[in-house]
Amino acid sequence: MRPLQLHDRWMDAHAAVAQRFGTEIVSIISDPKKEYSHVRDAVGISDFSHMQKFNVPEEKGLDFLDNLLAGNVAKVRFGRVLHTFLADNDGFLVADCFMANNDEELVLLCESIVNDAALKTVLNNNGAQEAGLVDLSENHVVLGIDGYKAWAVVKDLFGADIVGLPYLSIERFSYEGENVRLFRAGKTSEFGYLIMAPAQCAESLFLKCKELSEKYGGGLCGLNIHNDLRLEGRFFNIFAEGLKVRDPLALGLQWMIDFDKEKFLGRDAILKRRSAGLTHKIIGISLEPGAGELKPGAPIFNGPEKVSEVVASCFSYVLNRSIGLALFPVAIAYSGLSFNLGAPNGPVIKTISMPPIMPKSLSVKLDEM
Amino acid sequence: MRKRVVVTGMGVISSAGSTLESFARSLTEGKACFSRISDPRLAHFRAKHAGIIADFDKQEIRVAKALPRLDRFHLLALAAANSALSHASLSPIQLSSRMGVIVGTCSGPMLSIERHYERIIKNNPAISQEEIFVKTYESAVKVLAYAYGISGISATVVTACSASLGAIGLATDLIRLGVADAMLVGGCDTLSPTTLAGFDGLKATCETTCAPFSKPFGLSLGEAAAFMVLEELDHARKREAPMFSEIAGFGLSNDAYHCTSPDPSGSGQVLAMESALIDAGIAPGEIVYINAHGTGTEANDKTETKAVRRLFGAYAESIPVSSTKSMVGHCLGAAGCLEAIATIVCMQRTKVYPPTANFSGPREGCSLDYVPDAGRPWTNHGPVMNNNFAFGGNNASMVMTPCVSGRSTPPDRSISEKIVITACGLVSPAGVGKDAFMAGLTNNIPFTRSVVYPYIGTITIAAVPRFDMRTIDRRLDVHSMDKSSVFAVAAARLALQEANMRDRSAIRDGLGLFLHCASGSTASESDHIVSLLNDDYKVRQVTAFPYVVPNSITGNVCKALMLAGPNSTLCFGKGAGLMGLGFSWHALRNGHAAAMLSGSVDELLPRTLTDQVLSGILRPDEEAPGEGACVFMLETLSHARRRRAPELGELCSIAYSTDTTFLTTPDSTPETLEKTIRKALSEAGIASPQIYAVCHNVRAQTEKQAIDSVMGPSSQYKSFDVSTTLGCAAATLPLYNLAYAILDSSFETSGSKNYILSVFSSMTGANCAAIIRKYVQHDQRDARLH
Amino acid sequence: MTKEMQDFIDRRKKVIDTFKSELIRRLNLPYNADDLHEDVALLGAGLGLDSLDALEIVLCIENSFNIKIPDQNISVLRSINTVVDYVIEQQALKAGT
Repeated sequence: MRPLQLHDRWMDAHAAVAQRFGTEIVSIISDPKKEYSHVRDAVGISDFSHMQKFNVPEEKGLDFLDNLLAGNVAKVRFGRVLHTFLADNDGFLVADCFMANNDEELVLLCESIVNDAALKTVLNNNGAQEAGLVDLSENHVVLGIDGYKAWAVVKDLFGADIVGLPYLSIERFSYEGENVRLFRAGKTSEFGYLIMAPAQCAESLFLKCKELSEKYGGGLCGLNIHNDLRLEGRFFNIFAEGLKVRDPLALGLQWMIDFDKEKFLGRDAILKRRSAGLTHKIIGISLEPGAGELKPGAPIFNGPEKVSEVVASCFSYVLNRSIGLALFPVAIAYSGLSFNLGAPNGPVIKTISMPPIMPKSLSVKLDEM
Repeated sequence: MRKRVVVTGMGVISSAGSTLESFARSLTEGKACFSRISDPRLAHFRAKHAGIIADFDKQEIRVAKALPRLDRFHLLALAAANSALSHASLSPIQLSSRMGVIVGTCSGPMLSIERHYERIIKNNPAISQEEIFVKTYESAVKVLAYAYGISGISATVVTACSASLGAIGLATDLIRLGVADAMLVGGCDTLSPTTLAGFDGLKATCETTCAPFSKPFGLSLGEAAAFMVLEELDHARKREAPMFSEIAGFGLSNDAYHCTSPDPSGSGQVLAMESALIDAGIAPGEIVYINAHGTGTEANDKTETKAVRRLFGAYAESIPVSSTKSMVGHCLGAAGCLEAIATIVCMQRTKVYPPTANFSGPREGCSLDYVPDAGRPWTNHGPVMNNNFAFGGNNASMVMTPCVSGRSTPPDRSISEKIVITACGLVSPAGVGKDAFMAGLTNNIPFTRSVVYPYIGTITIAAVPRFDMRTIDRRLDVHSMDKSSVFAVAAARLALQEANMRDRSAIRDGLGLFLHCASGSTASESDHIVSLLNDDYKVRQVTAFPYVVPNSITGNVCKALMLAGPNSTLCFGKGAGLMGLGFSWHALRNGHAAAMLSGSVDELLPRTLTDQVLSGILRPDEEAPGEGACVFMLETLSHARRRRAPELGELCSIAYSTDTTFLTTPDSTPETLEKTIRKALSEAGIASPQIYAVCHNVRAQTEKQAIDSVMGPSSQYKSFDVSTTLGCAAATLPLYNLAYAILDSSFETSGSKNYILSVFSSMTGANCAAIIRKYVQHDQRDARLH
Repeated sequence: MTKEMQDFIDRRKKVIDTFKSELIRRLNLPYNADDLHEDVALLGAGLGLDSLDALEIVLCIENSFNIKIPDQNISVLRSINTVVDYVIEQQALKAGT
């Protein structure tokens, strides 16, 4: 297992830890509602070090990564980040990836549903060593700063220039003399940043972020709440619906794929499924307040017929109801329909348009395009 | 030694006044000179007001009688130019080819262009040669040259909102190098439904009248013509001309960001301003006033404020920064020169800072001293700055100093070293790249095919075959770019590759790009205008308008290749590629960059071809129109040596003249071209027997006669004309010919007979001759060792 | 599947299909209609369209469906589904139902 670099500091904060795909993660501090509120109403600091982190020199790395990932790595402009995925040979998801063009180096951050070793195997089997890929997972942390005040924390850390950083971009900064990579790339639909920092300054950076988050009325968060936040913001979560469904097409991730690219892992299988046509598609669902709770695995009925199962769910504090995702046959995968949960006469469940919430961050104008 | 440039005459026609006195008065009073747009076809637009010129009497313009079809665009330009020349008490005829003219515009003769489209959608596309001439962007300089006897260099800057500021800059460069003693320079744009609809569709317009840096958001358009006479200092002194200001420096840059939105970080704008200050040898802390671009749009005003703060730091708070657009509106191509004149008259005459009118308190993100509402006494005397930031990411900045300041000479940043050609990026009907180009020419089989167009039937064209950009560079995203941009991006990228230019920061910060076109019309012009005309001017789509101006092509190249350096787009009519080469050369010699990409692009547009055949300009049996792009890399010798770049040749001289006899007589004479060729030879310091190759149009009688007079028997040199194989790309053909001569390795050196003469003479009176020294194999081989 | 459900789906599908094909055409998107999941973000994330594209989308919606979109419209343009919801709602208002 890959332990948390900041394990002791999280223990100081009385966090509960867990294991996920061979990596230690912070699951929760204490109160999910409080953690939710940190992100939705102020700023939350989370530990995203479970991400596998790599860098590779651009010269050979460009082809290596372009042949691997589904999106077009070659066309990523200097300073920008590509949000895409890595699939296996059968075209099923292995990792949700951010690929950044950081001028002469390409940086890869992966949230994988395989452990470190398995991911490394895939990379090595596809030319990682020849390309000069370096694994930075062990000696770097990734801190997530999410929330509509996230920019204020990052501004205090690195200066006013960050205010102009567009979504999905990367910038180099210095912290205590160490090189730190700042990504603007959140998955909660609030402003979100990831700071990838070397172990040497990790602790100091973490404590500083914690202090700043409290200054702006926020605090520390675990990763459990991010499952809820992602679902509410309708950001793909490989650990929830990704793990259950695995097919990027049914998950609606076509936007992560460059279908015109000649080569990427799983391309043939994915293109074949694409021409055959989708049979099922993921769609948002919602229960009335007070009608119970959506649980993954719970069946969904259209009249007497079972048509689907809940694949991911959470309680949305903002909407005061249970929402979720389910995989429906395409003929009925439309927003605005009514079905029944659990049994043909169970509570009414509706298909809904996503995203269902208006994040505070959308009402704030940062200097952005 | 770099010469100094002063302003000796000014003329304006605008909604704020058509004399310098009335203009100055409006500015001092902070009078917002807008009126309601009365055209009922335009009543549904958000924009209800514009800076409309009242009481313009075209009867006063003599030339208008000789050329009855002139557009309002020409008439306004003629009137303002006349004022400027009178003000300067200068008669261009006396300077002969030592005086030239450069005009900046956004939409040129758009009213005439629209009128033709109105006929076109009614299935009546017939058009005469005269009407075509009047519809071209480059017609203004020809008309001005004709009316006022100007016979030196002429060019049209088509960089939209920064065009005339760019024109002033380019003209300044020419005078500094002694290419001209005086230049008539300025800008003009009329108010047209096309342009109004374009900005309105982008939701950039203001519903009331604009309030730069304040509220409400949005711009108001204006029509105007503004001209200056720029003169070399000693020349002005000798004739005791009053001098109103000195052009101390200017800078150009590109955001390399987005076709309409400015880079929110302000980096591109900072780079332009910084370059201007460096060019002038002036520190930011010396600037006493800034005339802002200040359109009033949310994006511009916020970004501009940010850029000013970034560059000037704490000092920014102390500089008055005002937008004269608050009084005259956004006059597009005329804005640069109009605002420069506004700055000068306020600085010299009224001694009051021009205010930002209609100011009811600063908007969010805008926190400088905008000189709200009324003019304040001009207290600090010293250098001033003018800025314009255009679509396509083109940024222009200029520093002027008052003539009485007694300031020391601006630094001489001119360079005397050679300028070499280190690459030829080629996209042609023969294919992509120089190998395909040379192979195609060796085989000598024409790359032409027949096409059928409505109204004109079958014609032969030479089109660029489809190609996959990925074969050139997988990193280039040209999806949704028009063909012109794709050709230009490809050719520029090939030039970078062949010049072995890899250093990312060199590309990003220093490398310039001048791209030239024959016509101001793009594929998008047709899309935009026809869409409007078919639907009572209702805006149904916005993706075409940003690409109506050819500057969008340059913007696309800069964005794709991350080029942030000096850039411009010039329109010359036919032969643009060769004509434009000189401007890049002058930019390098003035020290604005150590390396520049310079080239041209053509696209076969059915609209243009139809017009040309219907009018008789293009005779399909004699000529096959072509398309493609050719981009050269020009560098200072030391820069090329440092990079161990391949050295293909040296640009030794380039001479220009403008001959407007075509407006009154059907036959053009070869004498002017002959003189131009001799001038090029003399400036290169060589004699005609040293020319081994002549690049020209073998079928053009004027060129042939001029060349014969200079060169003697044609057995003494090799002719390079690729038109039978590659067709006639209007702008790019002369560059193809030159590329062919440069890349042709069958040439054997013999002593000093190693020069290429490249000649072009257009039907509309533009003449150009360039001398290039070819570097032979062993020079190239050494360079390639790296 | 009840007739009511089928009618509802058909009505919604018609709006979805029209909007998707216009979107693909006007913005030159490298995707088929089936590649565009109805919940994918249009601006910023997902398709990552910019402010100029947003203006084009607004015109596209206004022209295709003959309705007006307010200037402050970020909530409408979040995904294809939110656009379709708005269109259907406006069409219903116009029809007075």
